[in-house]
Amino acid sequence: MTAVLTAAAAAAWAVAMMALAAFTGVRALGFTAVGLTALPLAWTAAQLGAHRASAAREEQVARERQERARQWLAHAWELGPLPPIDTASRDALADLIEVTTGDAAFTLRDLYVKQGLLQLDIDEVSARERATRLAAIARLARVRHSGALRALLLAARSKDSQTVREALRAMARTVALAHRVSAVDQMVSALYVANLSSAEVEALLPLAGAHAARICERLIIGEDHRYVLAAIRAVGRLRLTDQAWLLSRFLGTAANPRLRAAAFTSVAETGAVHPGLEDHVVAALLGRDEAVAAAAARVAARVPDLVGPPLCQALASAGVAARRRAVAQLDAQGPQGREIASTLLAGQGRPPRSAAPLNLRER
Amino acid sequence: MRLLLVDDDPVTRDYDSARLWDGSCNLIPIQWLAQLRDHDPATVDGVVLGATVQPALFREAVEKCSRNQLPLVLLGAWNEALLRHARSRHHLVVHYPPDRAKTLTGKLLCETVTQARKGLHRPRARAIIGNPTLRTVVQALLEGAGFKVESHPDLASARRAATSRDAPAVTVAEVFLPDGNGLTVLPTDGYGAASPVILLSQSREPWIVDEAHRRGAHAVVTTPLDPDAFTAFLKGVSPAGWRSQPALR
Repeated sequence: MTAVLTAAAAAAWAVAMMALAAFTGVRALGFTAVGLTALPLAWTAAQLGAHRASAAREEQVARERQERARQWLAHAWELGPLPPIDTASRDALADLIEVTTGDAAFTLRDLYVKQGLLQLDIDEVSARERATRLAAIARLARVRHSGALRALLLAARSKDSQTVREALRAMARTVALAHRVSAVDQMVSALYVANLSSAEVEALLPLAGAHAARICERLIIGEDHRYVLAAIRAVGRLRLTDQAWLLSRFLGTAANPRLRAAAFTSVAETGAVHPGLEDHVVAALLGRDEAVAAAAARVAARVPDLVGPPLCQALASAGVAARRRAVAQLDAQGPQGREIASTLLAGQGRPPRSAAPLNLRER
Repeated sequence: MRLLLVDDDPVTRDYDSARLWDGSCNLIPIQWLAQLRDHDPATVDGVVLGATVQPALFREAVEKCSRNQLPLVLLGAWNEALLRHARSRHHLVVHYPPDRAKTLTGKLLCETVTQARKGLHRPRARAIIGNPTLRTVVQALLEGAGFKVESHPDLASARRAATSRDAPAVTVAEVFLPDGNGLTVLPTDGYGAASPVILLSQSREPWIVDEAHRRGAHAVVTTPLDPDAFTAFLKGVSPAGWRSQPALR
């Protein structure tokens, strides 16, 4: 119906243009007007047709994949024969492994290995064709079998950046389910080989699940310092409280203000303050770097009982400027920070030397 | 109504013979494979199987019913895998678990067979799940548990279906759907839905569990889905027994 209406409208338009041209006596004008209108319309129609065909193909692929998923389930439950092994079938089984857990997932994973699909994917990870390679890596990311780690590690050395990113993503997801400690070693090696940006590594670490803590530890204490910032941030963001001691130790040696600020922020986010950290907090609060002092003030506001006494002692011997800076930073941390600042000022006996007394409430 | 009663063990029976032979229907006892094989399917209305039949009898009964579109009634404690097998081969399968089989009468059996012939023997289930593969898995599990499933990829299509049809016996909804929150299939007043609702969620964050509890959900199941655990949840959602024992886990 729509096609008939469109054709009728186009024909009416062409006739009207030609009639107008005949009326004015310039026939070329009519052909030009019809051509200028018809060309964009034809281009749009071609584009729409291509999109429609693409959508229909995708729908067909999705339908085929769901049908294969049903066949795999029936086979796993001993209700049906083995489905034919094709791309849709491999994708369907990988999808099923991803969405199930327990004995069912174990059976499906076993099928994936025994039918040789895992080996097929491992072989295809090093394929020359990019689409084949990426599809195999995407399947391995869903299957998460530790047997594929070595192949993914090799893919992380690829010259193609997309392959590297997908391989690392697949590795991180695989490591999350791996039982072997060597999987963490492989992940760390792959990260260093891939030479990603710090932000990309930070985005990858949550995918490693329970092993993220170990990877962060290796990245922080390792000799290569490229991903220290990413690891420190991940400790705070993922609330890896078991790794808070590492940050405490790191703050004892680190000199880079950016890293120190990130470490204090992470400590504040985890809320796990280890003995000895209060001295670093006090030193940072009385230091000259504003970003580090602000992050340290967050920690102080989080654990006022631990930081308060040593800070009080340190303030007594500190210069006026340092005292003012520390109080200002604490004051910026909301009610808890203001409370510590008030206590410190009260403990001093006299307000800091300034033209007007410091009004904490109005700041 | 003529029914074949296939049972080769006369001692251990999960049903009450006296109740079954109440004269409402003509039950023809079958003990041997040859008897079952030779019986003309055009002369019977359905087949009833006891729980202790031999595998060959079971296979023959399923094939015969499937070939001739006859209702198959399974009585007693049947293995889950066998039930799933029967349901995957034939859609007119009705299972009476031991507690219900004990009180089954001939009249009730006739009604069951009549209902099955009309296609009304299976309770309906509604699955609202965005992930297509998870939807396939849940659909297969629900069908294996004896439900007639209508599946929807989003809330909008589920709501459209809800306006034109009666409430299903059970609803399985994903919490995070492409066009909204699956929790909204439950009423907000806290009195619970008309039928049990099982929610699937990737995480067990407190706000999800609390809100599901407040709205009267039957259970919150974490994904990736454990099919065995999910089947266990399905067993506890018979519409009759649900109100008395809500089990939010």
